Amino acid sequence: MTSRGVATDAQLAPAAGVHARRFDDEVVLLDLGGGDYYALNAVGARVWEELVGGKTPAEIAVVVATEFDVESARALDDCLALVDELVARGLLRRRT
Amino acid sequence: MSEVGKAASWLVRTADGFRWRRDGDGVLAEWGGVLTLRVNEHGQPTHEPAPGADARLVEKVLATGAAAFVRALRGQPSLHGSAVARSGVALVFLGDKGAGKSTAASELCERHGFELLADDVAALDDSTGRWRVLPTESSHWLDVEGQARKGPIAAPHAGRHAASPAALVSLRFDDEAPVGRALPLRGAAAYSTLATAFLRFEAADALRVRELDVLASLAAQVPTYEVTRSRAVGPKETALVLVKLLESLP
Repeated sequence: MTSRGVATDAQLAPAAGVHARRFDDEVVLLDLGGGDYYALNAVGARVWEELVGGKTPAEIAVVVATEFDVESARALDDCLALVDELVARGLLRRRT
Repeated sequence: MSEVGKAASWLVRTADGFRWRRDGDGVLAEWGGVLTLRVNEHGQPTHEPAPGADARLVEKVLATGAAAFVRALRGQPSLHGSAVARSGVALVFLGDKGAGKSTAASELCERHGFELLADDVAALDDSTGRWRVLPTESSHWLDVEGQARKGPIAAPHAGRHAASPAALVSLRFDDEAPVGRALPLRGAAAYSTLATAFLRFEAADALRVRELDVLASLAAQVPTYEVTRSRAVGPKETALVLVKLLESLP
């Protein structure tokens, strides 16, 4: 567990009514409940797709550190920050 | 490193004075002061001009908004924009009112041998598995100088066949860019441009998801560009930028 609230081994899934589509290397999220669209940049898109695929933030941080050539601790920190924001905006939910 | 950025809020583009409702098994749509359109349960439209309506306006709404409405009922998308084609390859021009969409189409048809596919509403079709632009309008409503005329101006060459879009081009005036230039739009920037131009008539959830699918598919098949130029750059120079862009595309 981190101070932010989402555990590094959390299992997450898109919230009900959230639809994602890839546009080039980015992802656009449609939130039917909130009535808004959101955009994820290339790194965020990779995080989203790995989350949907069932990986935990810790596992995704390893992927991000390798693919985007960033230091592991920073990759994990950024990954958790994004996940926290997605959860806070109601775009992600914890798998039960 | 990563971020969430809000791309757009709900956008529902409807013409001024437009409203519609279910009417029995069909649909009744009204463009206030212009015409009433009835679409029966088989999707067949009939229309009635409003009393005293300007015949030219009736003609324009039938060719643009009403046609797009009927197509939307059938699940077929349209973009607010003009479209021209040459040798079966189309350019679609998007942008705000006054951005030069119709003027660019007029200029390219008048001086560069393009055929007009659409002056105000570009009809898209993917029934073949590839996106195409359908010929739906045969007249310009602005002349090559961008001035409104009293009536439609028949295009020198009206398109008769669907054409493959080589690019979706957002036109924009920017006085910081005195020379016309074309830049590719990718990712969420491309999405935002296309979503702004997408013609929608209701905000049902299923239609929102369908729209996202359409735009993702369109963006995957057709590159989106933004052409910016200052207002000092005239239609002739803008047309040359557009021709150069088309000729640079694979």
